[in-house]
Amino acid sequence: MSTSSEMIDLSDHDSFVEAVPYEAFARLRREDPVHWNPEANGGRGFWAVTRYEDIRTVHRNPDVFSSEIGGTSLEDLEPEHVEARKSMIDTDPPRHDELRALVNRRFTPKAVAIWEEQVRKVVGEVLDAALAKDEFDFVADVASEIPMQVFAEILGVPQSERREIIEIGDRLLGNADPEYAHSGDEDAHRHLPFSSPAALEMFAFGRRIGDERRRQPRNDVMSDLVAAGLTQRELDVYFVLLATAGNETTRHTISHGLIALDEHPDERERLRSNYAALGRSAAEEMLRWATPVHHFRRTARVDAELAGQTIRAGDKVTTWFVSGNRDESVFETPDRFDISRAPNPHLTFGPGGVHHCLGAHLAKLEVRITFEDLLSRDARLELAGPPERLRSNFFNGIKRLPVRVAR
Amino acid sequence: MIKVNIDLNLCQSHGECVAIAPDLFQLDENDFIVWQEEVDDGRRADLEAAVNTCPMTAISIEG
Repeated sequence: MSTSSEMIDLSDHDSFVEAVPYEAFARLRREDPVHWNPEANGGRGFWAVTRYEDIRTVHRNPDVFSSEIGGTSLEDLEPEHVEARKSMIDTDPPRHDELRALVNRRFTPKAVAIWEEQVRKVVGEVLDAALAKDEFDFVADVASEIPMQVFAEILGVPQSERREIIEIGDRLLGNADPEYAHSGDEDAHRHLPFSSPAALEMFAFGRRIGDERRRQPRNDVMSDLVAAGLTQRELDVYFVLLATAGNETTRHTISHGLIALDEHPDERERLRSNYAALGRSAAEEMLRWATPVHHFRRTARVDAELAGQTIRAGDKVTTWFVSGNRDESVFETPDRFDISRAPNPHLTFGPGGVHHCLGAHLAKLEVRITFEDLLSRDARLELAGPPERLRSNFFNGIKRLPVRVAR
Repeated sequence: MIKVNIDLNLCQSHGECVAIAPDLFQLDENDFIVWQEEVDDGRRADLEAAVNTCPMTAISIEG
């Protein structure tokens, strides 16, 4: 057991600015797998769960480790704030299951398979436009465009307005990064998702689309949601959840995927020479490697014991997928990027349990098709500068990724 | 025999049932669930575990 002062402070966003602190996570797994992390900023501290199996245990026991009591983000919130901003991910069964059932049928493997041709078309157009240039920002021109163009159709957002969703989403989720952070009083916005006033803009956007779908329903998620009899606030936060989760996570996975291939040219050439056989496992490895969401939080509903550590009712418990995805007891040579890794039971979509990512199959499809198309082209992308990372202990975000086209 | 149903409007291919009874449940190359629809009574415990573990409560059994 180590004292906490020697360990990394996971509540400090600066711990994630330069790079993901993989070494620190390896040490936590080895020395203090259920670690008490005090918070310097006045928070009441939290448990950091870093081993694969313990993370699974937490997520499979919502009766013990609740999403609903304190929400799923690290912030200490008053109950009325939790209530005001809680979306599906901040609920437990049975409410969770009712909310998920409203849209689940649009994200099953069968439903997603129907989108494959559309994804292929979007990817082709996006890459044609980007690779016509000599140098460009891969995040702006490719990694953010593909998920948003695809998801705009499914959600029901007009393509002409998709950049607006991306722009509002960046400010909403980048609330710990000085580039995006709003200036002003955070306490005034505790009732909003991510305590960010940008949520109000996203609410307004969603309400406008929702009003249109109420008048004229279409075959999309927003039409389903406005017909479901939700309160206005439930509808608002559902829209925020989908608009951000369907866009930012896949974006960062695609960006990290490109960086990984650039850093592992042997793997890139192996993939290029046999995409049909390796495309699916390569996409899974990119998902493990990228782990776009570092952690989620739960709150202990009752006293519990986890890996020998006593957890008290009311304690915050954070599960670090970024660590579980490098757990050497589950993954052989976890720090190696291996496009044929099998099995690859990564935690990127969640460790099982009811909150398993709704968009998992769509995300896998988008990642696989993006690199299939990119690697089939004669033009090659090379990094033209270091990636610019998001300052966040929650998202493994890439803000900008300059690339040049080698012809 | 026990009849096994899976509601494909609910199934998200989490694979929990596959982990419990890989001979009764499988995911195909497109991640679609495929399963044995009629199962011997001796496997009731495995089937009940699958029903109870499924995160989407998509599995039901009759008989």
